[in-house]
Amino acid sequence: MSWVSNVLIPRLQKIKSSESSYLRRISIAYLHEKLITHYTKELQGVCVPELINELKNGVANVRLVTLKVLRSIFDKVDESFRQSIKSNCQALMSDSDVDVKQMAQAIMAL
Amino acid sequence: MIRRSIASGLGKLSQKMKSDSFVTDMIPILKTLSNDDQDSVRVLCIDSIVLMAKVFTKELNKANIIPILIQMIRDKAWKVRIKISNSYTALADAMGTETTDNSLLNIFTTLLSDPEGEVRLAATQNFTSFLKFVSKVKYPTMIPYCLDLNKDTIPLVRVCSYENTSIIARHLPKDEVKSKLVGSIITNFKTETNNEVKIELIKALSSCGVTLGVEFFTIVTSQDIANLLKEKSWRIRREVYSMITEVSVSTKSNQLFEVHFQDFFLSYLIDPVSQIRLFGNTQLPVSIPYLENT
Repeated sequence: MSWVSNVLIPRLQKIKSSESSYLRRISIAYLHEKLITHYTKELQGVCVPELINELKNGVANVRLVTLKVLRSIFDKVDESFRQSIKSNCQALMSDSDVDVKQMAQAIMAL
Repeated sequence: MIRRSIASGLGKLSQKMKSDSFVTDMIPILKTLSNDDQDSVRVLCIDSIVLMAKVFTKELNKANIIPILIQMIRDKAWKVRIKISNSYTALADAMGTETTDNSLLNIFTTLLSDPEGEVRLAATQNFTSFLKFVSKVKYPTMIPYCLDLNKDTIPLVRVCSYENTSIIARHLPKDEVKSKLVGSIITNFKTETNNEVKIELIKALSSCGVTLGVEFFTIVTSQDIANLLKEKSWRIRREVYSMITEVSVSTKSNQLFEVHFQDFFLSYLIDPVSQIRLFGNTQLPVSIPYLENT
């Protein structure tokens, strides 16, 4: 998946670093979901870390959508990535946003 | 009322009688009724003509039905001409490809150029289904009619015409698409004001792109694509992204995408409209296998 790694992901990172609108970050999270769904083995190593990064985003909606995406791809990815997802969701179990907290708890319960 | 009943009943009778006897006894009556003063009688004749065409042989259709149609497409009443337009696909189905190619197609083109807008609309709307019965070698003869109807005064006629252009563009030789269609479509876009027409126009451009492949970019420039993506309507922009995906995937060329389309396509990620971003997300996974092939 050289085009994804060499062209798409850097483009997504550039957009996220320069983009002020949280709505576009949400769209990118959904794109990661599509990519993992279609090409799990090839792209989980690239996309899951990108999603985990977004769990630290200051906007609750971004954190929430990212958690929803992680929940939807959880059963598809390898065990090592599941562990990584859970360990990064742990901090969100005490998130200030109720919806984020509940979604994090749901993932931890998997 | 009696003449209407007879006009309506002739078709049903043709299913029951032997064709030779029917032609001898009933066709003269049909000819008289097709010239009746009442346009409602003439309209009913057309339904009967369709039924007759189904049971007649090729030779009987050519000798008896085609001459009546030739006369009726110039009927003074637009209702009669609309009825013929709406019945044309059924006629083509009944008469078969050979008669359609050699006779019906020429007659139909008269309806496409009818002075009455409603008749042109009916003809253009029915053209899509009629095309299924026309041999693909005849498609180049339809180009002038498509080009004219693409500039029709009625927006819905233009919408249907671009739909038809999309269909024939996929089966035309590359030279015809390149020299006659693409340039005209791009020029028309610059002056088109109706969004629904613009959407169909881009679909037609997409069909041209699928046929031409890399040669598409000898005519369509980066500036053209940039202008298409500046459209205010998000539905039009969505169609442009769809065109990019379709042309790239059909040519199976990652080079084509990377050189001509990549930056334009990835701009969907920062489009202000969420529908565009969601749409782009569905298109990207489809394109990736072709982008990864070298």
